[in-house]
Amino acid sequence: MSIWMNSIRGPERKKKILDLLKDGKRNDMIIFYPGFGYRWTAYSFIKVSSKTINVYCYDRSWYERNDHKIPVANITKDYIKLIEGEYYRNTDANKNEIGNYAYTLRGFLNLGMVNNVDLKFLRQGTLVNMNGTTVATYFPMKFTWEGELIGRIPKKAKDMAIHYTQEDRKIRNRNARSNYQNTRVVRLMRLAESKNDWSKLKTSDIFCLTNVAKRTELLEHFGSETVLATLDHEVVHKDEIDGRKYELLRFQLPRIGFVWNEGVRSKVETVPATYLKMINPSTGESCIEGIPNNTQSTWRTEVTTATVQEALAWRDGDTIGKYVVPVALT
Amino acid sequence: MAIKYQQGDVLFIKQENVDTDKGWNIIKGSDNNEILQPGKNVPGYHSNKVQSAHVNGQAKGKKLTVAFGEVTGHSHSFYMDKNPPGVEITAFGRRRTSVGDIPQYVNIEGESTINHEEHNALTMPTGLYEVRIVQEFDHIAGRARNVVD
Repeated sequence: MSIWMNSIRGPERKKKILDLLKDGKRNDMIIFYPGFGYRWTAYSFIKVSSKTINVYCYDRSWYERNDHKIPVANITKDYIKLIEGEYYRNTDANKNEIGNYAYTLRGFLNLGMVNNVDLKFLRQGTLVNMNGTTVATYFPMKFTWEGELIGRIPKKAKDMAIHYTQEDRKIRNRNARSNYQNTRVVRLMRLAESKNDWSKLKTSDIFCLTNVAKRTELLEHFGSETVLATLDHEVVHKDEIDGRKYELLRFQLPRIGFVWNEGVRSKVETVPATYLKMINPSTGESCIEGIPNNTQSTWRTEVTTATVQEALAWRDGDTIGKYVVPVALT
Repeated sequence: MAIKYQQGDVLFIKQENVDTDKGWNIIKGSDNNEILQPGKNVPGYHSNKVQSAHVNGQAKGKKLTVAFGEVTGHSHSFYMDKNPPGVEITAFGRRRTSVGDIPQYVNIEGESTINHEEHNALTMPTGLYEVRIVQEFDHIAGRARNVVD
């Protein structure tokens, strides 16, 4: 997500700031309000010495006294030095030194005074493109009015820019694969229903469907026993809670696409996938729902989920491994 | 330990010992009864948007939906004409899901019943409940998401 920059009023604002530097007296002040997306912030530019302007940022509706004590940027006629990524100093927002969301920088760029700059929000962090140099946001960040970075760029900011881009690509690819498979199977199901020919659908297609109602429909069509008989799986655990039967199943699903193993691109034939089989107490239909292989940290690759209770606790968002049995379940 | 009610993929977690000093407000209901409303300082609370439905007032026959289906068109709803007189249900907050916004909290005054086309009716006693949708893991995308039907 890029940001909108006011290129119409930007040059006029820049001229006012440079005029303040040239002709203004000490303690003279100009206030600018950013536009679309950052309307709730305000930037006050105060001349503090013959060559320097301090910039303070605060919320237009409410501000902390501290916001007026610590400048977020210093400006001279040659450069701008962004000191702070966030103007809220009482929150946890500014925890990441590298790649943080950088409201202050966003609002400042929104004023349109600096050229050749672009900002991009990825899932893991924020990247800034300064006159062709892409780095993760870092502070203090010093750049010219033409958007050229000055001074030493931290190595971590460069490394994290590559890391964020790679991670974002992986996530987007995974989501695209999931969407593609889901759409393919939904289309085949529609075709099968209209022509009454289900031969093009395989039992493993059940796992491609993201909608539980659709998945249950396909499971009911094949029959849960047929599905389990045709797919490589093991029953990890069985349990009965309040008369309801649950089974924790682990399938070996064919892997779609490639996997990175310690930096090497390798093709893996199958991957473990844990599912919970349960019965709808109202209709008696069987359904299966995906459970992470590791309920403690879903991104880990170690397969640890071992009990029905553990799976149900994760499913309901209870404390890890401590399933709270509902008073009533229909 | 939390008291939990479940209808299909929708969970109702009863909120016990709600501390009014921690962002909860007390508002007046239709019969001047006191209803707890989460304020903006309650963790995870996003909006002051309020829906309400009650049997005795003009809203009779109205339904209050707490979750929608994606392809089935089914919904988890309180149908006020199926509930006894005096029941008042107020929904607070807004949680975004792929099939529409659902309330974050539901306050039930009087024993009331929630209905769904594929599940048996669920009766819950008076109380303030957090509404939650159960989650599942997509092994192809490698991410968790709310269950949709």
